[in-house]
Amino acid sequence: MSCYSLIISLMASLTLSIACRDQSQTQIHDTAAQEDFTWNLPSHIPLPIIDPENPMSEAKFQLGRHLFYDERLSGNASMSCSSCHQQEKAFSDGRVLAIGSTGQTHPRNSQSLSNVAYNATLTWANSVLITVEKQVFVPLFSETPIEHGLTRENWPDVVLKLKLEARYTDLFKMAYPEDSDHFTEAQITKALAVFVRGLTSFDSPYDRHLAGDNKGYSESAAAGEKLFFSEKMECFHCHGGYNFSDSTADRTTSFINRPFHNTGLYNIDNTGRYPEGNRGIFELTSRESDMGRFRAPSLRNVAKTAPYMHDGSVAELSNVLDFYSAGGRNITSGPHQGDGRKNPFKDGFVTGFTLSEQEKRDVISFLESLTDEKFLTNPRFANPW
Amino acid sequence: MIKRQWTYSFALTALCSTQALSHTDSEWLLPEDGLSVDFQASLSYRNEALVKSSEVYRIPGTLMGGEALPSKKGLSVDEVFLVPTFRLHETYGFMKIGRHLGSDELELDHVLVGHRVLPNLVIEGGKMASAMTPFNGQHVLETNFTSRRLVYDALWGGQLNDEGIRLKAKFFGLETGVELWKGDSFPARQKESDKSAVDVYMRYHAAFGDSLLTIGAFAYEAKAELRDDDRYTAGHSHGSTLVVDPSYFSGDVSTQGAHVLYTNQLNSDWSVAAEGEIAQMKQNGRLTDATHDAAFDSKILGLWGDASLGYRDETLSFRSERLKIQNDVYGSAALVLSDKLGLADADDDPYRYSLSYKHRFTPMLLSRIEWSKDSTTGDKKDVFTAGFVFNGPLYASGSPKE
Repeated sequence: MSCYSLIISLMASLTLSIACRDQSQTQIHDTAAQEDFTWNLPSHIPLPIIDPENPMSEAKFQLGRHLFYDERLSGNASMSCSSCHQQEKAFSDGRVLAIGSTGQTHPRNSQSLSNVAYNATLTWANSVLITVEKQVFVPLFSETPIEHGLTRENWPDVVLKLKLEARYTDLFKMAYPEDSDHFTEAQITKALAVFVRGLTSFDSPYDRHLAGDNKGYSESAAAGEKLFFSEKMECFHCHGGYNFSDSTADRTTSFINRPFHNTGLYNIDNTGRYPEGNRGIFELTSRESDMGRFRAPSLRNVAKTAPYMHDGSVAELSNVLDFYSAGGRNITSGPHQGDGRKNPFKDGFVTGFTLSEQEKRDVISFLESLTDEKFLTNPRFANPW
Repeated sequence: MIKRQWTYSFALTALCSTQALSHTDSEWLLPEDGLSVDFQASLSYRNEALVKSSEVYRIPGTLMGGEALPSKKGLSVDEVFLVPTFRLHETYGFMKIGRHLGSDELELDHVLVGHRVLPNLVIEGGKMASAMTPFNGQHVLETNFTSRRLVYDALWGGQLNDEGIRLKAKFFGLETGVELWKGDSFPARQKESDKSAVDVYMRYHAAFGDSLLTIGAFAYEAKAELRDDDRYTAGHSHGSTLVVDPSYFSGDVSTQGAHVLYTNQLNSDWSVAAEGEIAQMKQNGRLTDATHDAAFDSKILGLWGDASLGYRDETLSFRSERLKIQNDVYGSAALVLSDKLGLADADDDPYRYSLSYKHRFTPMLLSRIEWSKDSTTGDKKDVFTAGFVFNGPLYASGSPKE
């Protein structure tokens, strides 16, 4: 009996010892999330990827905001980033095609900057442009077409103008406190990248509806949501996920997809061709199958970013629905004549569908429910000058 | 690698020393001569289920798999098995066909062939339960309680049951063995044929008058490659239709444990028994799903112990079980994957206390009632169970069983 008692005592003491120790736990170690910046994201939205060489900070964001709205950051001091990326238009410009500081017309439509931090690739069709830091060089220094019109020759003068602005002295010091030299090209582009990356938009009626608040989310929008996410319309395949684009990446993504799609917008002479200078990633790869393939933009705030498509050739949302309903666009005359519906490189999901007038209104209501009014008016993103 | 070498060395030393000493205990290793067929079944009524039938059973903080499915609410046949066994001279075989706790499917649970190659040395192969502890091979109806031990659900998917080869020996009360596994069963998952899982064990049996004492220890090592929770997926659904978005663990798994059993026939009426085990599992590797990847370190410490008091055909038993879980998940996908896999819910030690009363009508038929306080799914539940167990031979030829 004493042996029995011994064993019972042993087990009891083991049980007690394990019970009295610390409780079970799972510790999350995500060092990338520890940064001096408030993203203002809802809890279900992951943090975006950042350039490890350019960590986010509030000081850099504020410097970037000033630079973003500063026309002195152009060759002739007539154009800022905000010229083509206006807050009230979800940081697009409402034009069919963008116009540079010298009046040259860009072949493409200005994209919205809503949640650009989540884009797996930047611009309309560039599979290798994957960081905002590199992207901001394009409008600043591009020559064909000229956008901001900055060159190696006029750069010193531009920097001098910035240095003469008293507000910048403190902004640069706060943004780059460990740097002895300020107003460098790298500092300017990094600050712009931080500001652009910080333009997050996740407070639309649809987001609130997902969170359980249906105020501002109409029955028509709910009906449109069902259609949008249906196999009938197929929209969600390219415009799915929390950012309504299949070209989305965040810090939880380990295998990043960088898809591009031909939607049947053109089919010049029924050969599959798109207009010269606007042929999608074909212009980088020269692969025939890449003809007309562009990145699917986020549909966040899409109701504010008309006109649509990479060349702004579709005026309104209802026209966009008509276009996809037809499974492409048939151009019957002119230099771009050809039946886009039969483009041999068209994406398999653009097959066409039939909507009643009410269904069409419902889908548009849903797309309008993606408008984040706070994003359009948030003073944090507004012109500081 | 060093750990694996240590395991092999331990096994080799154990078997060599066994050979040097062997000359008794040889009959202990083999079943009786002839053919026998046993039938086992348990019928239970429960007032509560750990999870709804539409939910996935997860012990918070653990990566589960194997056959660790929960018992059901209401009246159900918990387990049913047909167990044919034969022995012809030095060769014997054993099958177990049936359905285990939580499953809806009949399956070939074990099929094993063994041969005594030396008086105290036996080799066995087939689909079998590991013998590294005396408890792993037990199904629930063979225990004093109506639920699987918590440690076995968390560490072994209910039971370490795989295809493999076992070499075991016994002499002077010392039992030792080494088991090489194909490595297809939880917690292992092998994709390459040159990798496998291995365990070694050693137990010492001693008799003191009317008391029997067994103490033992084991070590197990395996690799897992893209191991998912296959309890609810096609091909191993156990009748469930739940669909789980697959997530995977890939990495090293090592487990060590020690156990003790004690019985004492105090007199012709009264007996006491106690048994218990402490086991630790470490998992080190990566968690992934289709788009996420995170580094993962996990340590689960499990302990259980039970004590029984018997009077003639009545048995009163109490069991205490507890898990302590420490997980560290690293990387930008740490939170996402932890949420998805239920790891983030590990904020309390899962525990269960059970009190059971059994009455034996005949050597083959008994009834039992049980109360348990169960926190294994995060919510504390009082589960009351009542039922019957049948466990006996349907047919036997050759020497009668003792």
